Amino acid sequence: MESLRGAFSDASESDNPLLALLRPPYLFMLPLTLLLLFMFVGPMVAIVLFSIQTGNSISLDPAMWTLANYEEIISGMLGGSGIYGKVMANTVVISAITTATTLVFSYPAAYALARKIKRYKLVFLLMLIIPLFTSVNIRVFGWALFLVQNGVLDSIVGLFGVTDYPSMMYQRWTIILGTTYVYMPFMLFPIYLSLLSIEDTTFEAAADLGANKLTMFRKILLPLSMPGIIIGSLFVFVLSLGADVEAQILGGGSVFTMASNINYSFGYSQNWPLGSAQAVGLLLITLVAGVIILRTIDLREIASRGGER
Amino acid sequence: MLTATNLRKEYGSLVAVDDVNLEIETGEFATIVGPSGCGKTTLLRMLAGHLEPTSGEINLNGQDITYTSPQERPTSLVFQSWALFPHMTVRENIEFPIKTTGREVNGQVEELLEQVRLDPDVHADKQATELSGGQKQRVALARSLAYDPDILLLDEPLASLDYVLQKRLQRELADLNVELDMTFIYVTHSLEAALVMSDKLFVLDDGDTIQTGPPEDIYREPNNKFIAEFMGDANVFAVTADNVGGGTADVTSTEFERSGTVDTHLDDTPEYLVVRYDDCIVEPELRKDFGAEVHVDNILVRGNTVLIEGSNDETDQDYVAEVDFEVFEGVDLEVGDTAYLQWDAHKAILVPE
Repeated sequence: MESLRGAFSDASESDNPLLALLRPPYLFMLPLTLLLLFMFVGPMVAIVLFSIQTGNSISLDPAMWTLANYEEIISGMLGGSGIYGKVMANTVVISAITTATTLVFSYPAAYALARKIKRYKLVFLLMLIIPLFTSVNIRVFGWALFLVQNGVLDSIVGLFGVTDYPSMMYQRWTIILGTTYVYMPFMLFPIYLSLLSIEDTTFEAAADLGANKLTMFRKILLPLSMPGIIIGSLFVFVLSLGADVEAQILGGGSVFTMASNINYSFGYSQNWPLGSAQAVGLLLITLVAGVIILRTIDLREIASRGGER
Repeated sequence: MLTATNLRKEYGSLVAVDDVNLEIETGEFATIVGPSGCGKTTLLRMLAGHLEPTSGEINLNGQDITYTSPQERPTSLVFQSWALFPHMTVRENIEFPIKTTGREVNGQVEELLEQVRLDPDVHADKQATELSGGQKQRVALARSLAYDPDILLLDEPLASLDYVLQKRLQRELADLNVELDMTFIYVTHSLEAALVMSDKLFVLDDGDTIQTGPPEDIYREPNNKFIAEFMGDANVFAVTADNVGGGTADVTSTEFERSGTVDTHLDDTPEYLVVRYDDCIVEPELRKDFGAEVHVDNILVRGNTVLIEGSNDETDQDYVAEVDFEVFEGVDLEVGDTAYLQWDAHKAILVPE
């Protein structure tokens, strides 16, 4: 049936596929496509172009282009000098740990919300959504005020006579704390939605056919929520790779991520080509991570699952 | 043997199942039939262990299984939506209960697929979601059989299939019941399904069984007006009965002409006369034992039979006759005519309220 419908619509559009793009339903995609062209593709081209310039102005003459910025970054990484290798490793570690911690915190909560909690469900969901209405900066600054010396935590533990303890700020785990908190919803909601879409009778059938709790989790719950886990992991990992505010505020200039380093190049050191080259590098890492993560699932299957029921 | 004693399920003040008693012999094909909302699915879910009864007892071969979990219970439920595991292949679906019960997978998948008339070579390694409705139904059945249950519970698994396929699968289920000598308990609102397949029928209404027995008995001798109407398309007339007893009663009615003696199994005074659509004819002259004068409102040709819908303004009742096409052709009848919807005494069934 599906293939029949496909064949039919293919046939009617094959006479002039380009013209078909200017008719509904493709026409409805046009505004968004144009916006993405200007807002995403344009700047990407600009970044790539900037990364091969010698100074802070764009030249379209290939004779003026240089790969020096890439050489600096790569040779620095290979030779062990420079900060690029360290920053990259740091960024990937922060992203990986953030992905793992958000998953550990989100999964049970998503399960409870999607399948068990009936009363107060809306309250819990609002509790998760409302923080998203406030700026990341404000939330992260709040954390800084909590953790910083002479801050909230200081005065609380001070009440118990603890005054001498290692600083909580400007550590790698402080950044991870920030990214875990900020990106939690991006893990929770995909898992929540994938759990929500499982039919109740699927679990009943499994119980009916003798599945104990462990089998139920391993053979039914986990595989059926896997698309949510993977999409959530992709979101959190990629967003964490680009974590900038968290690194700037909670890392305080002593721990860098690639994004905060790029920010530094563009801002403080005014080296736009070097910043651009790093941005291209971050983009490539993100792309590779995305491809690896997405290869583990079949997006078409997820897209079709909604219509299948 | 499965028995349910005073089985009851309440949801707050709502009584979904009201002290139901069931007695089903091993190997029997029992059908619980009733209109939507009569509590039949709730009853089945309690038998499957997915729902705890408020009170009462379920007993299987002398063992109390009222509160046994679905995992531990030797029953398997074929769901209305089939509930195949969407992320598994047909083979994995069928292997699932074999593995959970700690048995060795050793050719059972092929065997079961053949039993439900699916070609293992073609279908075993398909994804469950790739199958058609009828195929899903067969796989769900095979999966439940793979659990090797004592009792197979079926919750209207044919409801969403097309008519021809429903008919075929009804036959196959009845055959399978005999072939496996396994107890089948089937829940449906479709009378036809109930009549074709079952050895024993439980008619459920408003949470309680109102008649139990072989389907042909219930069809011939319905206990009351509700069952008579439910068991088939039928006209119902309010009657006054005299001389009830000894297998007959004399009936008269303000709704139809003539009076007469009708066979009845009742000892109580019947209040209604029921006659099925296809036991009535409509003709201008009253020739049969009983007849109601009707104004012909509608004539619907349905293949080899014709539905004639009529009404009586005085009693404000609607009546229907289903007549063979050839019989209809022999009668000069048009919409707007006044004629007699009529039937013979031996076709009439007397029932209490």
